[in-house]
Amino acid sequence: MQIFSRLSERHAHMIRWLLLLGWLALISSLLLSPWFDIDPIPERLATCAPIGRCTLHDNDGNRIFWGVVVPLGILTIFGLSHELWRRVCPLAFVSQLFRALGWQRTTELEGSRVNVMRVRAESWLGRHHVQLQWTLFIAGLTLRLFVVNSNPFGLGLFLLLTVIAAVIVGWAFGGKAWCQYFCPMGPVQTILTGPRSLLGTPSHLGGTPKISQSMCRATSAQGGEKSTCVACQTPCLDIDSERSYWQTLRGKRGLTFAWYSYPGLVLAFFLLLQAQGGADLGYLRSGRWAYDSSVLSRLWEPLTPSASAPHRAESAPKKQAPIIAPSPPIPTPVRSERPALSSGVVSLPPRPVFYEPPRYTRPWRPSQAANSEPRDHAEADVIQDDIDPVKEVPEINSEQLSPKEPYYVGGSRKPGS
Amino acid sequence: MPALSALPRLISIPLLLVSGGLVSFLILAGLERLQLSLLREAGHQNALELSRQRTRIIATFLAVNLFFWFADPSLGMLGGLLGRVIRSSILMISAIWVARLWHRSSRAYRREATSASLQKQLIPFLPQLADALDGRDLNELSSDEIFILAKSLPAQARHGNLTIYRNVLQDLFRKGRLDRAASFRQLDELRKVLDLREEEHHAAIRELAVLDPVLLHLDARQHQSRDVRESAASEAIADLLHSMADTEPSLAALLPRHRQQLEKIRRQSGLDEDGWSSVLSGFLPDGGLLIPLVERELHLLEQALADRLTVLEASARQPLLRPLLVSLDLQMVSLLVALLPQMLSCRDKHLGRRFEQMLCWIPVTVRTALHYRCGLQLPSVEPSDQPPPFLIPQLVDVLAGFWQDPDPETAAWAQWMLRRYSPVRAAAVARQPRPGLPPSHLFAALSPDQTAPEGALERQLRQLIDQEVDEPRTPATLLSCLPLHPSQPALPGLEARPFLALPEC
Repeated sequence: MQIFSRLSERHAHMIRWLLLLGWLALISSLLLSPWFDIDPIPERLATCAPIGRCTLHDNDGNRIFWGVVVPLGILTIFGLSHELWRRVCPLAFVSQLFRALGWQRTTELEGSRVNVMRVRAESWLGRHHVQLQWTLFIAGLTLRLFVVNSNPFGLGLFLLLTVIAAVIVGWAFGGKAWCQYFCPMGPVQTILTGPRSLLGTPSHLGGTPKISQSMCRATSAQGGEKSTCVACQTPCLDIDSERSYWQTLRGKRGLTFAWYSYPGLVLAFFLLLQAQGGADLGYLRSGRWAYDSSVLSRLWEPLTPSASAPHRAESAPKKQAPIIAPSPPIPTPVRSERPALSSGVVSLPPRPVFYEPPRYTRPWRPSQAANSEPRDHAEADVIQDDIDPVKEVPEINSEQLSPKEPYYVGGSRKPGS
Repeated sequence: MPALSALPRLISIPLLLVSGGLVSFLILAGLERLQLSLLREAGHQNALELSRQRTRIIATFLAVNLFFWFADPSLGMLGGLLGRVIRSSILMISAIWVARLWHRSSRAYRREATSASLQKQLIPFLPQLADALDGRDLNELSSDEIFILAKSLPAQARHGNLTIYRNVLQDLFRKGRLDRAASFRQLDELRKVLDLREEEHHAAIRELAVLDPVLLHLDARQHQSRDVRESAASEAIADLLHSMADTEPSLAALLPRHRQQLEKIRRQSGLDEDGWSSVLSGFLPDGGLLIPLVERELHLLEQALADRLTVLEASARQPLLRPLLVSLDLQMVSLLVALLPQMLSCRDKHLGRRFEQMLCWIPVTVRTALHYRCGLQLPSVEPSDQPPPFLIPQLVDVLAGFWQDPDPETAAWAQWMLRRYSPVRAAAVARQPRPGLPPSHLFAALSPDQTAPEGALERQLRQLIDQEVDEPRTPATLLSCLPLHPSQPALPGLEARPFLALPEC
């Protein structure tokens, strides 16, 4: 079955351009998000995370990138074949910019001739690249949990820097050095492919075309395809994934660690993401984590809510609200028994207390939400850390908490309602 | 863990993330060890490889399913139904993937790759194989069927089988699918199918080395790099020549702008000077490439003839040198197999005369072996009374020259002899590496820790040399007739030699 390796180079080139333009549009929208609010569905701000202490921005870029693009990429590599993704990856494409311009870094050979610089197998990078890539991968996951998952500007900057890094590496080394030696997704692709994907093309059998799998190629003057492979890495996943697999089964530094640690990293990542939203699967699956712009401001707080603010964990609504069609978290007063104060002489009866849910201090306004997003981290327009958890029971007016109307924590209502 | 989660997120998140990875690594590494011990108990030969391969696919299975358990690329469309469908599909796909790879091994991969090369070599024999194919196309056959088909080749001349074997070797080497040190072991099945012996494997290697001297010095990875770079550069040059619509498409007629493009191709190709010259030579007119090649081969033939004269003279006093004469004859046969077709195409008169001068020095044994090997017959020339037109080397130089022979037993035998004539030179030679060449059994037999003394071994070998046999014996053939010591350790890259009783040889 040669579905993906037979995809013509013209079509692959077109797909690459489309993906690159989409990628650049996404980066632009993310970077410009503090100034331009382009989101058409502001209702998404209607509810907050179950821990009750967050601001939600209204830029869908984070959700689209981490929630759709990345899983679809993994689905493509594993469910279809690495051959397809590695031929259309926009980062691999931009890394070839200087090659196309003919301005790559060169090294002098004997006889005053120059060659494009390559990563030599015996160099430090050639020997340790998997360890480097895996370190970058773990650093990337950490960065995601810190800021890049939910902060549009942070993600935009992250993607822009990645593009710049790919271009620089493409200038510094020949071939697909970015994909082979630097890209943190490189080892992930190796792990997901194994010897061969389910729909992958075998390269070692009779009748295999000379330009196999996702081998580098270009359209020739006659309209056919010609190889542009410079053997930047041998064995190469793009030429014959199975040969690469068997040849690196032993002796490839860092690969076994990367392979065996990957399931644990995936699990730990999602559990930590979930923990950021109060250990709630709904926070994860509904994608609220991608809008939670107060993640950065909670970096100095402990991970478990009970360790910092037990009242918040308790006040979190049990029923999770979907993000598209919000149902308001109704603050349910939780009655608790306060131990009786005893002076040894006089004993007072226990008083009923309420844990108050966190409040938005500012009524929500669609245009301001996006424009004031950077300020959200700095100023406490959301957080009321200084709320005394123990309060006298106020009189609760049931009319103020009408379940028919969207309720905004802090007592405000949607403008116009 | 609770203590960690009480730390600020800035610290606890990276620590917990890395801990997750570490725990996963430890669990899966333990699983690999467990599988290894179970597979070894079950008597699997490749338990080491299989345990790692299976643990890796288990790890991938877990990672993919964990990922899609949490992630939903459909963003909860259709009330989450699409997400559940994706999750279930991934589970099914990954289960099929694991089932398909569970028994996969590198051996199966190599076998398939060898069968693909063998398939190409069988194409010229398609008319003779029509009955066996029974209307099926060669491309439809599985790797098992290809091997069976090769076995069913109608009584081909022996040289046909050796040519097929040599071409398969060449194809696998060129693509970097085969390491020279392991080639003997890895192509064992193919040799059995084609009914070839160990000596013929070495002869095939020797022939390939004549055609491409770099072959001996590159490993599989270097071959692969060279192959893809040369291939890409050739295609780029062909493309450039094709784009020269206004001028004659030849390298000599390149315009300045085309030369710049050619230089850009060279710079980006990653080829060294030799590799680039080799690619360019493919675009030169025929004679330009052939003449240097023929010159080099004639020089090698002269050298082999001179070496033979030296060894022949010395073997009158030392019979143990006689097997090396047979090795030299085989070297000459390998050279002539490559040289004769080129001499027919090469119209250079000077080279023709040089070859004619050598003809009278080529011994009968070489002529016979050449006829047997590829059906070629050299013109008969009267032996010359004149002194040879080449310099006769010293015996120690000849013996030292055997060190890089592809046949490890020949190299070891020559080294054994060299120790007698010049121990200092022998020690110096033994320090030189033999890249990609397998170790020798003779060395193991002669090593100081062996219980059998050298004198006993020598007596047995002298007896064998003195026996009258139809076929001349190389060092390897002689050693195969010896019952080697049972305690001899198996050497890496070589299988244990079967014990043969002397009378059977």
